[in-house]
Amino acid sequence: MKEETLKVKTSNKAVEEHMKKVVPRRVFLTTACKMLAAGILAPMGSLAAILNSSFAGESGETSDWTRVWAGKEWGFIVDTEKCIGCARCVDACKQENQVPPDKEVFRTWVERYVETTQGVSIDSPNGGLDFEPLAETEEKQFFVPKLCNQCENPPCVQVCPVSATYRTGDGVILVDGKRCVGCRYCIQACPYGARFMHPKTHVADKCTWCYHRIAKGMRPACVTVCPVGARKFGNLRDLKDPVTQIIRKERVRGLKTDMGTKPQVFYLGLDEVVV
Amino acid sequence: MIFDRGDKVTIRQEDGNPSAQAVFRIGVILVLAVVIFVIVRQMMIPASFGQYGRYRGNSISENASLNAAYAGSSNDCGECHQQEFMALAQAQHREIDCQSCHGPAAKHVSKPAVTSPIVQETAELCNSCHRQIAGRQDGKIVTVRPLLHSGGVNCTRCHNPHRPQLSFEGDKS
Repeated sequence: MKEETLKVKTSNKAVEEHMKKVVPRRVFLTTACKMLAAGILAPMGSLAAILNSSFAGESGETSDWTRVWAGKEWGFIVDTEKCIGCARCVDACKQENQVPPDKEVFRTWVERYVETTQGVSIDSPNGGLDFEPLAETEEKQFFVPKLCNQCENPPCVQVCPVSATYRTGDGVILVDGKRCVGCRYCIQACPYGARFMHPKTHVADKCTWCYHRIAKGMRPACVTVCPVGARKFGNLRDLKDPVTQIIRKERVRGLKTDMGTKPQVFYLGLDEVVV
Repeated sequence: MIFDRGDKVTIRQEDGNPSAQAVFRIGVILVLAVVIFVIVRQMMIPASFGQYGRYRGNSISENASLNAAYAGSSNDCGECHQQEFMALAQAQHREIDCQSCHGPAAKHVSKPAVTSPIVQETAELCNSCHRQIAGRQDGKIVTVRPLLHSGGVNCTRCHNPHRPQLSFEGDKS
């Protein structure tokens, strides 16, 4: 220490003057910490206030959903033998759920499989609304309507970093549009390609089996308009429900069951080439 | 800087145990940080979060309370349009909901005067089911080649969609 003080004493006056002007480290650090804390806390407080106000009526939850869900587990059947590829479901879904009709995004769509000796061709122009006639051949040609499988073990829910998507007690995966930050993880995670970024709201969107309709005792819009009864919707907990009866008695299969997602859309007459 | 460091050493020596003081200071900062974290977390998390699971409980009601564009079923239509409803019940199209062709009618059901789901152009609409395309076998549904069949004119010139099996009846209902 002595040496150091000596050094200061022996140095020229200019250096001494400069040292006097230097802010001591302790003073600098305490001031910096205070300013940093104030800088972080002040906007955080206002941010929290804004966030809380955006979740309007947060404390006023009236309906008890556990009571609504009691004894309900929704299930869906797609009968590929009946489907004629008219895409009334695609059209109805877009109108029911405000999905922009002019954009290539769909909550439900219809795929056409055409098997030839060269292999399988799959097309779904504009979600199935604009199928071209193509040549009639002797090989297998059929339609497969697709929609969210409302998996019992949903990968999309697992990957959401902000808990903006979840499975309800009656077995429907919903999106919380107010919490979704639009990171697209869920869109990547879904093995069925059932999710998309909504062009208007800019949050993840998907089929909800028309949750607003089934909550009011109606069937999903696509089931309502299907002219051939290729789509069926029912309660799997009710053993007398026609859908439950079909699942119990007929040969049904889910899509990509090997992925462990436990899809809740059951297909009748599904060919093995369908992916 | 040299001067500064020397200064610090003298102060610490005056205060006594420098390490205990440092630990106390860090402790205070940690406690403050935890308190601030808890307060901020409390403010940021919506009240209904965790009510039913790891999500915002009120989101369920928000999803469930959206308005339906399509009415429940044809029965809603039948309450007023009894003639068409009865005709359709006996026709080949009996399995089809009114809204499959007429479009969403929930608004019309609640306020009949405001909107009217009348179908104007039928060729394209009928084609969506009856046009011959690959994958649509004749066994499932009657298919036609629209241009060969009618030259693309409105289907209702010959067919009544509410009684399609009775051809050449025209636009009567």
